[in-house]
Amino acid sequence: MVHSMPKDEYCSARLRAHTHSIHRCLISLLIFLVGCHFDTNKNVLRVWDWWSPVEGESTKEYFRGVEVTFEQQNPNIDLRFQHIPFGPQYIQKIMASIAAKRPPDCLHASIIWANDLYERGVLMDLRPFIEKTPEMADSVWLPAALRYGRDGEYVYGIPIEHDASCILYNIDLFEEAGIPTAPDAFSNWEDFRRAAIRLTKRDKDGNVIQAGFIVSGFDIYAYLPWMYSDGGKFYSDDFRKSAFNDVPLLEAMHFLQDLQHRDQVSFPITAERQDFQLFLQGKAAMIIGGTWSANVIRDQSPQMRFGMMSFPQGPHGSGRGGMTWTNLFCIPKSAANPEQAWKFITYYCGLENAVWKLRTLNRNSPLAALYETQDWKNRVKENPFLDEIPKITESGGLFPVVRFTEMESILQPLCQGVMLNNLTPEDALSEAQKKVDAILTRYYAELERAYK
Amino acid sequence: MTGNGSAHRKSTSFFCQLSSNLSAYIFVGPSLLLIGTFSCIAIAYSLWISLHNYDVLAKRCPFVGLENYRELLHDEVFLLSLLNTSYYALMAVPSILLGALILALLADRAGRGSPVIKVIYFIPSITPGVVVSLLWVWLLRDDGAVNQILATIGISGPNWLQNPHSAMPAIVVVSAWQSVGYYMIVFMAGLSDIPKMYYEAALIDGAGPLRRFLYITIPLLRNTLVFVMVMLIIGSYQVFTQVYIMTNGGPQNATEVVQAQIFRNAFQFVGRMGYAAAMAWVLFAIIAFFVVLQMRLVRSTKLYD
Repeated sequence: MVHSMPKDEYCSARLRAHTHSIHRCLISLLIFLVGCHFDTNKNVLRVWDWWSPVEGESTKEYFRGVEVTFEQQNPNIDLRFQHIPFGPQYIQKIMASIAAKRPPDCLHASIIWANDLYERGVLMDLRPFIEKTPEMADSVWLPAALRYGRDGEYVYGIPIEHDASCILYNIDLFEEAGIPTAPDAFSNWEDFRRAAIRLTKRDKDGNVIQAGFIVSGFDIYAYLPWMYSDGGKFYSDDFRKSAFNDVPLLEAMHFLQDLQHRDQVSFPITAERQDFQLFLQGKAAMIIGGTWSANVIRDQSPQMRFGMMSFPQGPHGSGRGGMTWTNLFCIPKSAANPEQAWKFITYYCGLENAVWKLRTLNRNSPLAALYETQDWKNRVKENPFLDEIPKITESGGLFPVVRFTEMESILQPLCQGVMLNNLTPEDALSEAQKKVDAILTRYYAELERAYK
Repeated sequence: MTGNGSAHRKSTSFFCQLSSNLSAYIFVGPSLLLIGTFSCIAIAYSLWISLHNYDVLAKRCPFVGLENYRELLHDEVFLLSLLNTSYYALMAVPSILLGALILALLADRAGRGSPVIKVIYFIPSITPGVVVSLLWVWLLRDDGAVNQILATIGISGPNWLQNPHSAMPAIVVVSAWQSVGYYMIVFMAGLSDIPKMYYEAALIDGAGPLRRFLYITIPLLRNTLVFVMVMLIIGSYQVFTQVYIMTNGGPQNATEVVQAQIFRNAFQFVGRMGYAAAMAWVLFAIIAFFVVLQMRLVRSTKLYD
């Protein structure tokens, strides 16, 4: 039976329902406005970084920890990371944001472009902040970290990472071949070459199925660590000319060319060859990696036993070597919140976060104090390769920072020519010297003409 | 008096015309505004940039006159990239043109199978260039599918993309594979416009297939051919994606092209925007020259009817 409601009662029920709806809307609006009001009380701090939570679980955990801790310590700041992929797009976005006067409050700057940004006058001098912040004083950093991010007294970047290229090696494959697994087992290039040959496995047709060492000689990065371990240098002492066209880099080029073509310890050169994946799959005993590689290996191949070593001494070197660089955190001059950006940098580059980064990512730091902490010592016990990192970073030579992107585009075809055996190292370096010197000459002329 | 009267009549007729075509102007206005702002002004600005030592971050952008253009004449990499681009165009334009024309003729005669052929050949054209390039990087590797197929007939293929002699032809093959379907459709549209009566008349007169093709199809496809050639020349001189993804200009600059040089100088190198703009204007001049030349030489306004 259908019960019909009287018309008045029906109307009053509808009225009540409407009133309730209006009340609910008003309350929601009030909550929204109050929320907005509270939000506007918080200062948004925009931080640009190419490190990203999508890199892996450990990086995700790292960023979650950074945001939570920093916002707890600074309840009036809403920290917003904006992750931008590394590469040309990163520098393009920086340039566009600075030109549009809407830069991030602070940004992760690779040394590849930090110097260029500084020379163009867009990075803030952080010295006045440093003087008020003892935990960021020059004395807290490892000496090698202070080679970057400063021009005399002008400090345009605070060290955040202290990385170096190194040789990654598979301990299981070393043991299988009866090669000592200590990081200093190879005292010179010849030891290294012999080991690479022993570690190489071939099928019945002679094709390499396990590389002793993957030679990656298509860009200058591949040669410079070897050059430094042979006593070479990239720039002249006043940075106004190149100095690489000399015996050490020639020897490095011949050495890698021979490993690829004469000794054939590596896979054929192809554009899409995934060196790191081949290493993770146990198809390569040694590759060139970096001191940052540990967490990637841990994420992708947790069972793998691996080690890191610096580059053995070359024929004209005076010790082990490599190439070390220190990426920076910078504040653009037109940043909206420089004081709060500095607060963030102090936290992000400071010891507390260095320990957190070590715990989550197995990463070292340019902070000298980290290596004295119990956390570091405990971590080294669990991951012996970590012990090698400070030695690797301290033995490394300078990363070329002046107009490097442009130089790289000139050097790359020449390196390709050498590695494909189409060009002798002597011809390649002679050509490279002419072109790099021309870039440096133009660079200094432009500095005097336009930027200063 | 007469002069004033004439001026008055002219302005009246102008306003009359304006008011009578007002609705057309209103419709065209927004597009004109957008094109004017984002194309015409931007193009004119790039000319200004090419005459300056322009840097988006610098406080001053000194006027350098034709210095950027002069520097281009001595820039080995730019000249090589120009040569490479022309080499690419020389291979790509005829191969795509011929391939598309042959496919269009075949599809035109395929009857009920024609839509299937159209779809199959058109799919690469709607596949993003990056995807196509990555796919071919794997196919063209040393132990990739291409070399495996060649090995079955006893040919040992090179490491296509790492060999300075084979890298550019490999890129041309990829471009042709991707573009041929699109131009096939254009040619098919052109073929469908040719009245059947010409073929019937030629058939009665005893003309064979080759004569019908040479004396009916080609002349009546002339404007389509010009369109396809112009588009191919423009596209060839603007080749970028395949090169950037497949070889990044290597090995040893064997596939470095002008567009890549413009991109690198403008967006990767510091303070080279003016130089990149000069490159872009040189490229524009080259493309314009070829297009005008083609239009003059080949285009016909007269058809058979």
